[in-house]
Amino acid sequence: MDIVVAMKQVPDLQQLRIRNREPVMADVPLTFGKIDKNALEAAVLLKEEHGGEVVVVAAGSEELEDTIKEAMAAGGDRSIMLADDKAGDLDSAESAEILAQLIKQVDDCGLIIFGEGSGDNYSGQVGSRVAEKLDLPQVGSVTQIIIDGEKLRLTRSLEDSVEIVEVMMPAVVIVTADLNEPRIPSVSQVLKAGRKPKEIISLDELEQPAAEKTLTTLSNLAPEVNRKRITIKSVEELVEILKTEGFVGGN
Amino acid sequence: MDLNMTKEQSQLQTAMREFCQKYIEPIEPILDREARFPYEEFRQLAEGGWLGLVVPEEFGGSDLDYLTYMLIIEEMSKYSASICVNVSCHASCQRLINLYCNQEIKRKYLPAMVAGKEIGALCITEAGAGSDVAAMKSTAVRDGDTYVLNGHKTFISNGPQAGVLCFAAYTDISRPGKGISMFLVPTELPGVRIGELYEKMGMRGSETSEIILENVRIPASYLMGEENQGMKILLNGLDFGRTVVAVQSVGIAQAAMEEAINYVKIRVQFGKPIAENQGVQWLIAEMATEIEAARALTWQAALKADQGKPFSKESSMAKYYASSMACKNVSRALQLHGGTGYVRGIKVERLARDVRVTEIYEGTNEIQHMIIAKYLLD
Ligand SMILES: Cc1cc2nc3c(=O)[nH]c(=O)nc-3n(C[C@H](O)[C@H](O)[C@H](O)COP(=O)(O)OP(=O)(O)OC[C@H]3O[C@@H](n4cnc5c(N)ncnc54)[C@H](O)[C@@H]3O)c2cc1C
Repeated sequence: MDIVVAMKQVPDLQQLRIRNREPVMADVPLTFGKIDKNALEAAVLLKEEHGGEVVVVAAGSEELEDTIKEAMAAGGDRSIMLADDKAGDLDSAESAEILAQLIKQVDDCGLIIFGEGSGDNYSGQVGSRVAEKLDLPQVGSVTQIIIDGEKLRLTRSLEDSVEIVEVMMPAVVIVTADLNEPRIPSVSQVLKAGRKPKEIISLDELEQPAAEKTLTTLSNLAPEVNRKRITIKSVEELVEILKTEGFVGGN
Repeated sequence: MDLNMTKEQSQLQTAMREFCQKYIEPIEPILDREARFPYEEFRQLAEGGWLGLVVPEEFGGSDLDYLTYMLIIEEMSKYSASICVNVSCHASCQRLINLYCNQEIKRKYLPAMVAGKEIGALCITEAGAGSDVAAMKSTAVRDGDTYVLNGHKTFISNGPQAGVLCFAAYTDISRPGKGISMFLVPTELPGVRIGELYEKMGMRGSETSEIILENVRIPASYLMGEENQGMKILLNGLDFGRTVVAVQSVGIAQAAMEEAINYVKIRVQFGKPIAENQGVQWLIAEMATEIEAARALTWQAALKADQGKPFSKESSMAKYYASSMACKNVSRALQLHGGTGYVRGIKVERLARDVRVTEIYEGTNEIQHMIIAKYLLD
C-alpha cells in the first residue's frame, strides 16, 4: 500500500520581506509549506513502519521540478507532478481538480495526506475538495495517524477535546502542524533526491481540463500594525500598561 | 556575486542551517563556557553525513566540490565557529589521506572518519616553527620496513581527540624545507602523547593541545606520498585550509552583522531605535558590502580549485581579506551593542573572541601578504 502526500510549492516565507504592505517576491526561493512538510513526515514515518512507498503529488510552476527534490530528500520515494508555468497561481478549485487526477494514477493508494492549509494563502479547502472528487472519506484536524489493518485510527485534537475516530482505507487525512517535527535531511538524502523517479505532466496533458478559476484575488496586503512605541523602564510599568490595554487580567 | 546555486547546493545549505539551529545553537554557549569538545554533536554531524563532505563515495563520503563544501562551512560557522574548526581540520586530514595514502590505509581510516569514530588532526606547528615551517625539528628515521618518529608539535586542533594524525617531520634534515615528509600516525601507537591543553580566549568548543611523539614506530607504508614531498603536501593542504578559514571568517562576520541588525532595530535611545541614525546605517551598509566582497573572493578561490587550477594566490587573498574584514566588522557589531556587547552570554561577545584567531592560524595574515606579494613581484 502506498501513501500519497499532496504538497504545495510556495515562496519561502522566512525569506519574504514586506515593503509598503506588499510581499517582495524577487529572489525569494520556492519551497513547500510548513504543514505540508509535517504531512510528508507523517507519511514517511508510516512507511517506515508498514512499508510501501511515499508518493508526493504536486501542481505548480515549472520550478516545481526542482522544488520537489526537497520532498524526495525528506523521505518521499517518487513524485507525480504537474509542472507548468501556467499553473503557478492555482486557486483551490483548480488545485483540487488537478491533484485528484494525479492521485488517480497511484494504483495502490491507501491513504492520502494533506496539510491543513498551504504556506501561502491557507484556504484549507483542497484536501476536502479532493476527497469529494475521489469520493473518499475525509478526516480533518488530525494529530496522530495509526494504521490498523485495513483501517486508520486517527486522533483529532479539537479545541476542548481529543477525539479518536476510525475510518476504512482509502481515506483522505488532513493533518495539523503539531503532529510531528519534520526530519532534517542528511547529506546523502539531499544528493540522492534528484535521482528518484518522477512523472511530470503539463496542463495540456491532463485527462480533464482543470476547473475554471472561481476566485479572483483583488488585493493581498499585510495588516497594518499601529505601533504604540511606549518605552517602559520596569516590569511593574509593563504589567500596568498591559492591564490598561486589556492584555492581562485586572487583578 | 550570484552563484546561481543548484537546488542541491541550496538544500544542503538549508539542511546545515536547520541542523545547526536544532543541535548546535543551543550547545554553543555551553561549549564556550566549559571549553570542551562537542562529542555528542560530532556524532550527530556524522549521522547526518556532515563528516564525509570531501571524501569519495567509495569510502562513505559524498565527494562534494569545494564550492559546495564552502557554502556548508559558512553556514556552520554562523552558528559555531569552533565546531567548524573541528570539522574542517578533520576534513583537511581526510582530504590529504585520500590524496596521498594507499588504498589499504584509505579503506581502513576514511570510512571510520566519515562515521566520526576516528578524528583527524593536522600536525605541523612546533614551538620553534610557526610561520617558519621549515624550522621544524621533528624527525622520521627509516628503519627497515618502518619509520621511527620523534617530535613535539604545538597548537594542534583536535589534538586531544585525534585517532589519526597527519604529521610533518624531517626525513632529510640536511635539506631545510625540502627534506620534510608527511606521515599518517595512528594515535593508539605506543609513544604518542597529548601534552599541554591550551586555555584559549575563543574557539573554546575546539580543543587545542600539544602532541608529542617519542620513538613512535609506524609501517613504512604510512608515509604519505613520497619521501621529502612533505612541503608540497603541506602547501596543498594549506591552500585548501586557507579558503576554509576565509569562508569561516565570512560566516562569523555575517552572524555578527545579523546580531547587530537585530539589535539596532530594537535598542531605543534619544526616543528612537538607534538604527534610525545615519551613522549606524552606514556602518551596517559597509559591513554588508565588505562581507559580500570577502565572500566573492572566497568563492573565486573555491571555483578555481574546482576547475583544477592553481589557487594559492586566490586562497591567500581570500584568507587575508576575509579574516581581517571579519575582525573589523565583528568589532563594529560589538560596538553597536554598546555595553551589552561586552557581556558574557551575548553572542557578539563570543564572536569577537572566536574571530581573532582567523588572522593567525593557517598562516598569519602577514605570511599571506608575503605569499601574495611573491606572486606579483617574482
Ligand atoms: C587556535 C589555534 C589552532 C591551531 N591549529 C593548528 C593545527 O591544527 N595544526 C597546526 O599545525 N598548527 C595549528 N595552529 C598554529 C598556527 O598555524 C600558528 O600559530 C601560526 O602559523 C603562527 O605561528 P606562531 O604562532 O608560531 O607565530 P610566529 O610565527 O611566531 O609569528 C609571530 C608574529 O610574527 C609575524 N611574523 C613572522 N614571520 C614574519 C615575517 N617574515 N614577516 C613579517 N611578520 C612575520 C607573524 O605574522 C605574527 O604576527 C593553531 C593555532 C591556533 C591559535
